[in-house]
Amino acid sequence: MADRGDILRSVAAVAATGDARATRELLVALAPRVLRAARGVLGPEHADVEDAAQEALMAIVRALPAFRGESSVGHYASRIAVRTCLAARARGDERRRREGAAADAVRSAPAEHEGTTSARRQAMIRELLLELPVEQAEALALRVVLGLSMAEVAEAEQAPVNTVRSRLRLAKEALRRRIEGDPSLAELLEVGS
Amino acid sequence: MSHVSRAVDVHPEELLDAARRGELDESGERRLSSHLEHCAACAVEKAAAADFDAAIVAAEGDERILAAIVEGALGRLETEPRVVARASRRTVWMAVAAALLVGLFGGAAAALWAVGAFDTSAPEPGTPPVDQGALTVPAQPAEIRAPNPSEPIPEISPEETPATTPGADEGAAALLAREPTAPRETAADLLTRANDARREDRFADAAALYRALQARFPRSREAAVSRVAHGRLLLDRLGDPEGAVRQFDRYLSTSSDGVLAEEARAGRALAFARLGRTAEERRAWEDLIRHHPASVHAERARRRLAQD
Repeated sequence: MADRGDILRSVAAVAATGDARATRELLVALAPRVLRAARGVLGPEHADVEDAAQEALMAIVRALPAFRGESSVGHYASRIAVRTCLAARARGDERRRREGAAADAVRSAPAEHEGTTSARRQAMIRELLLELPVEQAEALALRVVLGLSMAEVAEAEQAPVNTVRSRLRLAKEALRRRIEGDPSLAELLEVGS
Repeated sequence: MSHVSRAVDVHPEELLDAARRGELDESGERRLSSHLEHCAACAVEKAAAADFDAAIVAAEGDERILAAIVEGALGRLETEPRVVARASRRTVWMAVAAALLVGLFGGAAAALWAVGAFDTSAPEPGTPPVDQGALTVPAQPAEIRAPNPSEPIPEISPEETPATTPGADEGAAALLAREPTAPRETAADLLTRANDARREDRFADAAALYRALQARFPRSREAAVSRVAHGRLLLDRLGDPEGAVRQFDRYLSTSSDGVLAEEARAGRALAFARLGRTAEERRAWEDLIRHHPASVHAERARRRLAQD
């Protein structure tokens, strides 16, 4: 009997031909994962979460003809979702900077910096994601936000494990510099708080 | 734990993987603890991973959000040219096989969605394995059904939908006329504006925009979706359960097995309860249980039915 991964791969193959019903089934199946990526990258209360998730689903459909089955559909979709959400976050931040209306559009922004240690750690990772080169940001987000293992990140990125390891090492170096550069972040090391 | 931060060339990624999955043995734990004492980046990453796991779990109401983003994406995709894969002989055979599987898969997807049990390929790390029994939820028949055979659904054209909302008197036309670019708006644009207004607590504006969408693009997917959102708005925020019933009925008359059918059926029951029409409420809850036995509303439905 085919497992869910096989079934989803077949559904994706049909959806790639433009079949409306298969496209719907695919998006229904992937939406929880995509929403999780959007909440993780933008912040659960961010005003743009639903728009970014919707954009990510559209990007997944547009990318279907290029899907060659080298990874699972879920991991392929996760990578596209993370990349789309990172771009949406950067675009939204830029727009708000231009409009000078950060408080209006980002309901969660003040809380992210003033909340619990846990919230501050998440906010720090989100800010770091926007500063990193896209490959490093994707690898870090897939791993920390979506919880993929090294092997799964390599599969999603369609890159050798050692390449992913190198990207993560560079991302962690940037994280270390950020912590060193701001003594107030030391409390974020208090695990479990 | 005190941390001494210093540059590290090799991070024990596999140990971090095992720790996140709760598979770390004693020796692994010792090695990881030793590393974390001098690697601030790994310590923060490990803690942040747990933070994200806890913070972005599925929440109550997610099924509505998931349905909205799927319908929104599908609606917007319909308005753009689609590049599709060239169907090779192999693809055709795959497609034939997959089409059969889609039939088996479809109803279960919607049902699993409601209980948050659906996943795609590998299970999410750190989450308990999905109960495989859940995959046997019977698929719903594909044909369109009336929500209650004994209760004909009134055919209501969008134009007939009354503006019953206090504060919405200026109506959809006036609201749209304020926007110089409104005539060029697509159904997706209108739905987005309506949803934005709802999120910003401008309920009367949202209701007017839903009505405008339904009047201007009556056969669009966005209009169908908007009926459930509009129904909930009328029921929850605008004190118009009768209008809500009309919206839910209209959705179910065209999308009896749509992704929002469960919400529409629950909404009908709640609206009848609000109106004090207990016989119809009872039939609506029975209808919900019959069509969506695994619904998140099923327990509430059974409790309510047991009260009579």
